[in-house]
Amino acid sequence: MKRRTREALFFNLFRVCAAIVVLALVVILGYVLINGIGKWSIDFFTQNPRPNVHGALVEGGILGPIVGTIYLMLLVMIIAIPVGVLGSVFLQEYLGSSRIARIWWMVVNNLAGVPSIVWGLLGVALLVYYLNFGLSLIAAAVTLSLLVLPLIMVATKEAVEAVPSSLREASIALGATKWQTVRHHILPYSASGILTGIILSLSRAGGETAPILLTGVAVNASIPGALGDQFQALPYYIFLMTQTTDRTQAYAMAYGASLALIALIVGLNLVAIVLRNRFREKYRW
Amino acid sequence: MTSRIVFQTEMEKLNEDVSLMARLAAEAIEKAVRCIMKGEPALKLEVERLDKEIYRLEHVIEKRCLDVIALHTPVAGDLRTVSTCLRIITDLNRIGRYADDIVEVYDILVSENGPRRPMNIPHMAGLVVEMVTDATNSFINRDAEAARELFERDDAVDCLYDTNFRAMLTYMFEDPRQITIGTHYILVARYLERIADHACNIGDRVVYMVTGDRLNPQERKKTKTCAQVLGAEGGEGGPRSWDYTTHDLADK
Amino acid sequence: MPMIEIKDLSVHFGENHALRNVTMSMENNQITAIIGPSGCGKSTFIRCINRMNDLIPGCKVEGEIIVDGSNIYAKEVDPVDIRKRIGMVFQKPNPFPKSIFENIAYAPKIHGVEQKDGQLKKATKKELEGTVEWSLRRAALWDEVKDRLDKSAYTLSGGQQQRLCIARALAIKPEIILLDEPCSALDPIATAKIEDLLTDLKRDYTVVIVTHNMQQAARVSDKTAYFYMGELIEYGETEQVFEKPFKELTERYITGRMG
Repeated sequence: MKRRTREALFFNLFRVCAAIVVLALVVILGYVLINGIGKWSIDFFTQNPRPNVHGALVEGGILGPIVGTIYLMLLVMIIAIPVGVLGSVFLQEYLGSSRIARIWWMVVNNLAGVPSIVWGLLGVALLVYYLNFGLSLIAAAVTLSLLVLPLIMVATKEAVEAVPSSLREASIALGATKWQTVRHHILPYSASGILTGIILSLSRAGGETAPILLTGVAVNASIPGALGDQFQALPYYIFLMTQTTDRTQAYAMAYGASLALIALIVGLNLVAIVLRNRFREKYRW
Repeated sequence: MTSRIVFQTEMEKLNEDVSLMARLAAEAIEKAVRCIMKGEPALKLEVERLDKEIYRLEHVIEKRCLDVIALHTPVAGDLRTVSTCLRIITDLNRIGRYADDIVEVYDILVSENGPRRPMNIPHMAGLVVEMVTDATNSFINRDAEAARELFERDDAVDCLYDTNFRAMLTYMFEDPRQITIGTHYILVARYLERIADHACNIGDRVVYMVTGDRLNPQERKKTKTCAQVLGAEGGEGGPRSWDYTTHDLADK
Repeated sequence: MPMIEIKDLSVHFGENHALRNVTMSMENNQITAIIGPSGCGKSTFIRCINRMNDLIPGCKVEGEIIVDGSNIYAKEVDPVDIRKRIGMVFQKPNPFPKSIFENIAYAPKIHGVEQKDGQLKKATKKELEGTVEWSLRRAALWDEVKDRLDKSAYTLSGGQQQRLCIARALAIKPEIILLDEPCSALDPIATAKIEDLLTDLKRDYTVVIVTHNMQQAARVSDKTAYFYMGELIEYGETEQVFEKPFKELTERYITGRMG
């Protein structure tokens, strides 16, 4: 067929695909929004889940789950970000293309594809039982951190690789040490890329159900006061709601909680995007 | 590397032009001398034509040299070649002019009466024509050794000139009718001596072009007396036999 | 005593013998040009002088480079110290994506300022400002940028960026300045400005410049070194090398008959 027709054909095909994706997203989000916004109220956010007359936890609010999820995400941030970013930078800058580094990246890339239930199994076996943390916030946080660590490391690696070697050379030629170069140049210039990786990882961590299921989330936990306590979490709560017999009430709560989870993640993303853009503007080359 | 092909072509053309100009100069002086020694009037027009051609070539070559410098920035051997070409075309042009000046004397020699006493002039002429030819060849062949040998013969020419000058003066004192011809013969001798100097200059330039060395002025100081120099020359006439002892411009 | 003495320098990158037994010396207050065809080792050579080749894995350097009396390849020498005394400007201008001020102030900030008693102290704001102005003046860039020191270095033109890199190298007052084809990416006017700058800089520094532009080497340098296939073929006064080179290889290269 004529070139122009072929061109138009493919262009429109891609358009259609993109439209399908956007449409699907809009539909899902719209559905959740419409169904969930109704449940939102002050009470919804300030009360713990309560059983109704039949014993199903469909009354009250989602305070416990929200707090639990927030605590989890904070802990993952504290654990995974430094380890992931600095570990990746160290590998890139100090081990470069050595054999150790190449093997490491091969391992990390594969780890990124490990199913989350397997991470959960690792978590329960290693942290809950072997290291005796028990079913706890800390066990879940560490498990989730391990899950997102490959993502953060790979994102950091690519952001660092994107920094032109001419800038590294310029710094070294001025008599800066490797660490000074990393601190004053590599990290700031790759900050926007690294933040993107962090955003993606935290979003992932916040929504994972299987690992926390095995390592510490509980239906009747209170707000954790210590790292060893059990906790509630939004994804688990949503799951619970689908298993309850009181369908209508439960599903309503589930939509409300889903909306809250999405709002939380979007909020986090927005903060990180703002930060990322700040860095990108500041260090534009 | 396209620009270098253009450059190399330019350098070859330059070489051809200068070689041509040098050959014309040698031809001009040879014909000029033959004209007044053997009395061949046709040669006079020839020499005048050659002189004009030499003059034209000087301008053509100078422009070519400047173009090469401006456009191709020659260095090392190429630079020395271009600078040599620029210098020797001046010398070659002078040689052409002197050849023309020499044939102008022909008319005087034809019209004047009185004995002809060219003295050393045939000998000088032989040496000088040889020198110009050798200088020319040393440029064409890039032969620094041949160029160096020119200096000794220049000393011989200078000595012959001095001897000739004194002898001419003597004759003119003795016989005032000789004065017109005598003066012109002195002029011819002078022209020949100057041509020899120019041939030496060319030799100088060729040595520089080939080796990058400039000759030490000390080397040019005369270390031998005229008798020694002329003795070494082997008496009458140079290697080429100019038959001047009997020449066609007979005494009138 | 010459400022830089190279003794029997050889460099291997794994199997590749990039430089073979180079011996030469460079005096202070002179510009030395390094010329040669691509791959002849001239960049490798100049990067040995400030030990930038140490960054390349698999690089082995033998021989000595004696700068101002001491061998910079001696065991106890820290390359970081060397680079404080020897500045380098690269082929493509590489200013940091920070402000003009920060670019120049970076090195003095991290190294500190030498006090009268030889101790290094952290530089004060005033000292940094003074250094920045001095460096920019010395690099003939002050008048063009004095009103926008806080703007990003990337708002400058290519030629200005390169002069900024030179100013940045000057800021810690090195003894030697190395330039690796500094004008390759610049237009003729910017190139001319930098060449003038170099002629001015040689009054106070030892300058070594690698260039593939022979006319530039001829215009700017006092001495010229010609490298071919990792070997130093000829080294001498620039006039001599360009008018009457000793080696046939040199003549072939500079008259363009090589390759």
